[in-house]
Amino acid sequence: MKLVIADDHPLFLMGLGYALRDQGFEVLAQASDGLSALDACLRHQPDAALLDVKMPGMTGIEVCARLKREAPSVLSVLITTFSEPAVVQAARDAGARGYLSKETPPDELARQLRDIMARPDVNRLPQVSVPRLTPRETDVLPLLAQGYSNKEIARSLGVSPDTIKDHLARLYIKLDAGDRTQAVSRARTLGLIA
Amino acid sequence: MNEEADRQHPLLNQAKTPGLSRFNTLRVQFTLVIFLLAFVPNAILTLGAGRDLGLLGGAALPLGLWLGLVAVFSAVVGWVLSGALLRPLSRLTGELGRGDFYPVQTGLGGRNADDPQEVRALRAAFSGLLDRLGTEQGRRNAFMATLVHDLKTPLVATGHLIRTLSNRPLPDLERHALGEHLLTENARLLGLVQQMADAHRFEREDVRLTSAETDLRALLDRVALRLQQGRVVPGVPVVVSGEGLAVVDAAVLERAVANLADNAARYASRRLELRVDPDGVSVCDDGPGLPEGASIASLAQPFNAQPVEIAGQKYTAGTAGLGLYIVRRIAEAHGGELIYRREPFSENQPPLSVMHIQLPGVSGGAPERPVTRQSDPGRTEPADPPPVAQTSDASASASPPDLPAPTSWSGLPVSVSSTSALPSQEVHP
Repeated sequence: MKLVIADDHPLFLMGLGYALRDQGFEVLAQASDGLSALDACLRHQPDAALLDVKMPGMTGIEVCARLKREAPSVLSVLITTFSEPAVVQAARDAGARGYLSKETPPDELARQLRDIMARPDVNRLPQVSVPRLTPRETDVLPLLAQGYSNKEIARSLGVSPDTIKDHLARLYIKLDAGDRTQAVSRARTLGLIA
Repeated sequence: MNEEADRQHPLLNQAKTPGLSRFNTLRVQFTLVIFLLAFVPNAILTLGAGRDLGLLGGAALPLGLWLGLVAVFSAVVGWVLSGALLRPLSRLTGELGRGDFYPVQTGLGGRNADDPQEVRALRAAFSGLLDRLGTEQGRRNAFMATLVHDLKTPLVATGHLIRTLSNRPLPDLERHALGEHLLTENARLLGLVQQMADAHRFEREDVRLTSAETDLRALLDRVALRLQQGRVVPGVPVVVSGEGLAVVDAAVLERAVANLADNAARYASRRLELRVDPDGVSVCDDGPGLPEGASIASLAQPFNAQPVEIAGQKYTAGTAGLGLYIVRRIAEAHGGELIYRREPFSENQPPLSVMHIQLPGVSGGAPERPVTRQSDPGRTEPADPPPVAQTSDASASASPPDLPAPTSWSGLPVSVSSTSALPSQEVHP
């Protein structure tokens, strides 16, 4: 089973390479950024690409999306320390077939990779429910988290305070929140804001 | 809405006491004061007039009814007025209870624009408090992100590699290289943990100094030597230049310079210089410098969250500026400051990034090593340096004749750089 692995942490990349070879995988290429990973996948056409989420240049999720379009036979699997539901949701949308924790022991990692390769159509990503926000709601949320008033948010986004009030009302419903504090807290938990 | 706020904010609930104490509110007290101010003079006047008119005694009923009416009217006026007076305060309490706090607005005609001065001050105080809480929360997030992203990944990696070293027969060279990588990572992690501990300590208390007159050039030489010895792979040569004395805590300042030098070594591609300046010490490199839009003030903070954008959202993925924060605090403890600037390097080259620790009272010369040069009587050179290892490096042969012969106090090969007006030595890999 042929793999391309990518991570921006050189020691992790090296350790992962050794661990996977020990488990019987053939590591065709190792990349330390998203573009190199994409390039290696397009060139080597591995069975699967094991990608870190946070990489310079292009995130693992962006590589997933590109592979889905340009090399659909390559199965994208993300390996990360991020567990925020919004990141998982984005990975699912980008076409990732697996979402693994970096802490996964090598034998378990190998088992999960073999499962993914054997039955790629099974949805193995963690089940998350992340409300889909409109672009305007996505703009409002960080300003809300910074403690700006409706008037200040309105001025910042060039709309009327009443419009902001409407956006907030919809945000409260989507986030199941009763007030600003709850909305911000819930958005943080879901990974919608840092 | 208030009940909902009460449910979510138990502290507000605790503030509401049961029984008679529930009447111990500002509004009740204001009402009582207004009631007494309105009713007592009325009662005195009415009773006085009633005595004169002979309304006391048997015909007291109308007088009593009148006083009762005055009492009720005074209480109602008191209640209404106190409500009006306390409205800004009640509004502020409600906002805080609901978590729907509006910071101070000035001249905007906002919903709290009519707040009296005292309530505005209170609002400003809460605003400041919430800002500080926000900052603290940001730092906590950055701290957690450091644990999760900056520490966890290498720890997992070392686990993989140790397993490999234990279970897999590797050629000696590969095994040795793996061991070196593990040791380097271990040192980096220890450094990170030390920085986190220092940043936390310096945030709570002042940097304690034991100051003495210090040869800054010797201090920079030690940093350069350690930087060189700590390298697994050869890097950019370290140039040390300039001379000066200052009253500093040598050990503490050395840590600050080492922090800057370690960072510079990571980004330098051709030039890495440690320099004694007339007003302090500088660490220069030809790396990219601070990110665009960033400043020392914004970066040199303890646990400065480093955002990363994933799928259009920003996440905290570690911390940045820990080392800079420590350096800033050390510079401030010495009565100086940390300054960042760009300096021209040479033609067709990007400018140098210069981190300058400004120190008060730097004087030229190095009396501990007193050899006066003919060409410049005011400057001194090492009197009796340890054995010199000559280098065949081109830069050494290109040294101008008016600069001193290449010297090294470390036994490492050195050469004189011609890029500085002051004598400098270059530690090669």
